[in-house]
Amino acid sequence: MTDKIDQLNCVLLIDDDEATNFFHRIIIEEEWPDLHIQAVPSAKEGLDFLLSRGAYSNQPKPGIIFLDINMPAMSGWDFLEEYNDLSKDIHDCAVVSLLTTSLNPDDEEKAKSIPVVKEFVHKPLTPEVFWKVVDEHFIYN
Amino acid sequence: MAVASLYALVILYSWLLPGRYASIYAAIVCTILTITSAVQSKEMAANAQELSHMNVVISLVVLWISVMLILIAKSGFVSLENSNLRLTENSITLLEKVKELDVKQQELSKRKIQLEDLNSELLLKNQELERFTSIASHDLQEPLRTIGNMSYLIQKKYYNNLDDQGKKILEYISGATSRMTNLIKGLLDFSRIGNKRDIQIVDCQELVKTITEDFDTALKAVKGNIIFNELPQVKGNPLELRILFQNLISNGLKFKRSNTPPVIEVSAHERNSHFEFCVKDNGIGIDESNYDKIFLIFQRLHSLEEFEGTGLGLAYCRKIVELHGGKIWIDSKKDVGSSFHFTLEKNT
Repeated sequence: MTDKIDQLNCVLLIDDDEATNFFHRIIIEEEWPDLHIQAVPSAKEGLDFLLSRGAYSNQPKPGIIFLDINMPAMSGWDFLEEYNDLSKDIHDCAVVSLLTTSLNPDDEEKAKSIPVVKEFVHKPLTPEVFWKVVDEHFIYN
Repeated sequence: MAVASLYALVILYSWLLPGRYASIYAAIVCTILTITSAVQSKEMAANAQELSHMNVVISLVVLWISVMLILIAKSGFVSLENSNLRLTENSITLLEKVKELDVKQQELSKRKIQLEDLNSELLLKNQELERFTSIASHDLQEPLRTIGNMSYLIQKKYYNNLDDQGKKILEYISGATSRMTNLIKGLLDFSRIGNKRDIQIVDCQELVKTITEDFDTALKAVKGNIIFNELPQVKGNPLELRILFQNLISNGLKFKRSNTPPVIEVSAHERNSHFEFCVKDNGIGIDESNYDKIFLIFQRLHSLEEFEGTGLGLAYCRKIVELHGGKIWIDSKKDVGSSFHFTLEKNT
């Protein structure tokens, strides 16, 4: 990662498990109270949010996308394929961070071969890991 | 008298008579007949005597030449017949052998089918196992993580609002959750041993030396000692062998007798095709009735309060040794110590 992104306005959480989204939202809220956090329960809704489609019109552009891998219907891998075809504007101002389970090292191997994936985060997300991702990719005060 | 030459025909027909010397007997009979007739005809024609003598001689010469020819031809035929006979015998034995081979082949193909059946069964079982592993890793892990996450949040945000009993309950939940997480992780690691493995030459002396260095702090804490000397090189997977030695040594340190500093001795003896290793400790020992149990997955002999652990260590060890084509067994005496023996292939 050479160029840092100017501002972090929004974080998108994509996970079919409601409790995980709930937990990650609280973790991030505690660290950054006025940050816009959007949690969606499916990869498809994640794409809708990114493209301001459907129920998600007029949305801020997410700076970090925390993406779960194992989801029904459209998996994290499927999402990445679609995401790859999106415009450069979206790619330039967002960091995709894959949420892997430490129990499945094969996933991490696979993720390393996908260029748009910039980070791998073991579930659950911790404040330390959140700040590590922010420091790595964003200029902030 | 030249009519006697016609006896040659008799000789030629004697070909058809059985027996090797039939022609000779016929020739002798013909010769006698010829001479007899010559003697008798003497009286009839005295002037023709000279001529008739000549005739007798010519007839006899013709006769015996025929005999010679017949004999030569017949003996040629006999040897041909003999080789023919031998050939027939050989071809009969050959046919029998072919039949035997055919039977064996049938048996073999039957065995092959059985093996193929067993193999596909095994593949199916393996797939089931893999499915089970993925269930254990993801589907079981997911709700468990939620329990962990939520108890973490309560601990972080509401801990001070709880009374002592509430705090205690929360600690139990957190403790049990992290223990279960460890168990599932262990189970998954256990099923992963043996995937993607490469075989190298492993220097056990070097390996045990590194492990000893890793255990340095733990050793100092219990005033323990690890003794090893000139351990050989073996063929195996370095990571797996490391887990093997590490587990056995850490068991020796863990299951120590109170008030007795642990001493662990690692040794190896050369056998025909392999090395027999021994990791010996002076710990609490194991009752003989439990010898078989200890190598089973999730099998524990002690309460968590006495000795913590997942019950995976020795199951790991057994799986690793068996993957390397070796055997593992224990020799132990309660309150004296245990010796874990295992075999590994030589580096040849």
